[in-house]
Amino acid sequence: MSDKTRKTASANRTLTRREMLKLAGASAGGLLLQPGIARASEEIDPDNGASILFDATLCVGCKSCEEACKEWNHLPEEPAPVDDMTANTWTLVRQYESETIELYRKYQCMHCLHPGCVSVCTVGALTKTPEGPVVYDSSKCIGCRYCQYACPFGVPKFEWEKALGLIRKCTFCADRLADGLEPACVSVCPVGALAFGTRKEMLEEAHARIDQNPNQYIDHVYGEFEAGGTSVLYISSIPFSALGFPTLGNQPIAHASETLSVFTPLLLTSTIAVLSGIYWVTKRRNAIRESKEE
Amino acid sequence: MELRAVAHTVIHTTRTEFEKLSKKGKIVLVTLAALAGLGIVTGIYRLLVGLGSTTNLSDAYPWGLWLGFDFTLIAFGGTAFTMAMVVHVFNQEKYHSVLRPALLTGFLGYISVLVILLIDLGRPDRFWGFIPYANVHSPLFEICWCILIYTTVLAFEVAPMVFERLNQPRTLRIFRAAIIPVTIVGIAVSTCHQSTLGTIYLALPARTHELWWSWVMPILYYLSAIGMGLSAAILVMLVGSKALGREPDMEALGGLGKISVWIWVAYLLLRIEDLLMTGDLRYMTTLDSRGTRFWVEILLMVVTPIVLYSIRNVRTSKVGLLWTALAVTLGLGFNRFNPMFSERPPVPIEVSYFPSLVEFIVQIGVLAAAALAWYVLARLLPIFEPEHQHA
Ligand code: SF4
Ligand code: SF4
Repeated sequence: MSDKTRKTASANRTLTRREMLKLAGASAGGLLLQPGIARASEEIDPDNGASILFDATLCVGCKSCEEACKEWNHLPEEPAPVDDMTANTWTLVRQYESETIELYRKYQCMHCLHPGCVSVCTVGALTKTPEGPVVYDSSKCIGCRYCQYACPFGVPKFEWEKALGLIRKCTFCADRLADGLEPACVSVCPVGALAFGTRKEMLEEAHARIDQNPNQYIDHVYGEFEAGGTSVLYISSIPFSALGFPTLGNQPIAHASETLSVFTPLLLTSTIAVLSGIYWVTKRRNAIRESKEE
Repeated sequence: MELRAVAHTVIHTTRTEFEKLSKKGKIVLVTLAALAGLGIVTGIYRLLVGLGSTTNLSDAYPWGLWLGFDFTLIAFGGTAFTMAMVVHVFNQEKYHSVLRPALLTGFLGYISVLVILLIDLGRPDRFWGFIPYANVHSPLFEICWCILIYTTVLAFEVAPMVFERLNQPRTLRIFRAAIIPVTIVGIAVSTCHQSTLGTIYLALPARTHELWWSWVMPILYYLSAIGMGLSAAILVMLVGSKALGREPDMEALGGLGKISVWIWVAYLLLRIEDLLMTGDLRYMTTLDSRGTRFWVEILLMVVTPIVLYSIRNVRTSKVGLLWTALAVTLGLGFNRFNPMFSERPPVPIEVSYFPSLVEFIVQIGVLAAAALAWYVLARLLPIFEPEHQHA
């Protein structure tokens, strides 16, 4: 476990001055050293975006949400029961056991505030909307599956069985939200394990529940800060690692690559400049040497 | 018609050249052709039926053998920009004999990369998607553009060999005039995408173990592409000369080995410094599968060339150079595959990955086709002949 924490800590290291210098030194003539690194993903006001709060202490594992999701999104039944989300199962309730209790966790897209999937998508098929949902434009997707790799929650799934496969994942019922409805899963939960509102409201609600029942909850809202924050939030009575959640730092997942991608045009132009310089110098040197030899 | 005459010459030359081969040579060529043919048929089959039933890729392991080989091949094909840099930019005339074989290797290498990329895509029918739709933050977006531009540059660099062969001095002059600026753009674009291949993993901190994950990954990828490029040139020259019954310029090859020692020393220092700074050193002593793969990579790709290329007797011996270059290639393969399989996938089920038969057949087929094409083109084009007047 300590391994894991350390790992994410280092994975979320920010670019220190020393490393900046190192990068700059290795690039042409230190031209890379530019003040003010632009933040790549546009800032979206997270407070007012849509949000779901899942309370693991309330969920009874009835799987009504799974059915509602299938129905609303016209997803076919799986031929055999599945243990992970698939291209046709966008949300899934799984049982987890600790020494004393059985708990359920609902899997679906976390609709991250700074999604890894959005950051890496080759063609920008995935986008984070100001309303909250991370949506997917299937008409752009080339099926490179980088998004699958980049999502720390294993959410985007691919249609492996099709000759021309695409990515499928939870949409946060963006279509329902646009009509002023709740997501399908939230609307059917019989025990209120799912709550829906703005992210600000859901965070307040989560902390209020924890404060009112400190014995029943661990003092941690998963998704408040993880990977830069998510729109789907969780509270639980047992540590989140026991519910299969990854231990992530607070940096957006693609923080490092986004920071560096800004430098590409600079790298390109400075390399051209430096190479041209070297060419000129070595050419002259050879010419001088040849003329001396003559 | 001129085209007809050209086709005729090509077929005729091919036939007579094939007749001239030794028995062993014929067997090698026929085997390569058979493997290539099998690969093409299997590749088409995969395109028709999809990825699920033909590969062992899964939601947990969306990238596998094909992408790993692509990353390896891009570094191997980096021999073209490396040699172009040595010869055209640093004006080191002594290595001129290596340039054309390296350019041809790079060209065919990148074409292979594109073919595999196409076969690996979920929507091969939309391979052009990165042209109308942009995401400037995506390392893969940048790489797609760079590869597109660079393959064009390579075609431009290979074209003079064709026109020289066809005896078209006027066209040749146009290419010669532009060769330096085009080469420089090609090297710059290579600098970008070779390093960005490392940036790919920077976006995957949760899936990349910190024996590999590091802010300096792009620089390490760039340095190792140059190191690989030098050894690839040695390898291609030795194997190519043997296949074509020529004597390689050992002076030049030894020199390349010597240059690459410095590249790998720089690589090693940067890597050690990074591992020391971040305290990841302790993972090295854990010889699980991951730790072992790390050491294979370091020993073959970095330590072997530093030690062996430093020895004079190795640098003057074909066998010595060949084995060292092979070790570097194998080590680089590990280096490019390792980070892809360094962490557990974030799914609640146990999944593992080992390439399927189809994946192997297609991969081997593409490599065989590239080797075959290299051999045939090396026979047809004046790649070992000195240019009449250097640009
Ligand atoms: S959970 Fe995964 S798929 Fe969903 S927004 Fe975050 S990174 Fe993207
Ligand atoms: S598979 Fe599609 S959605 Fe995912 S990163 Fe590639 S292009 Fe984007």
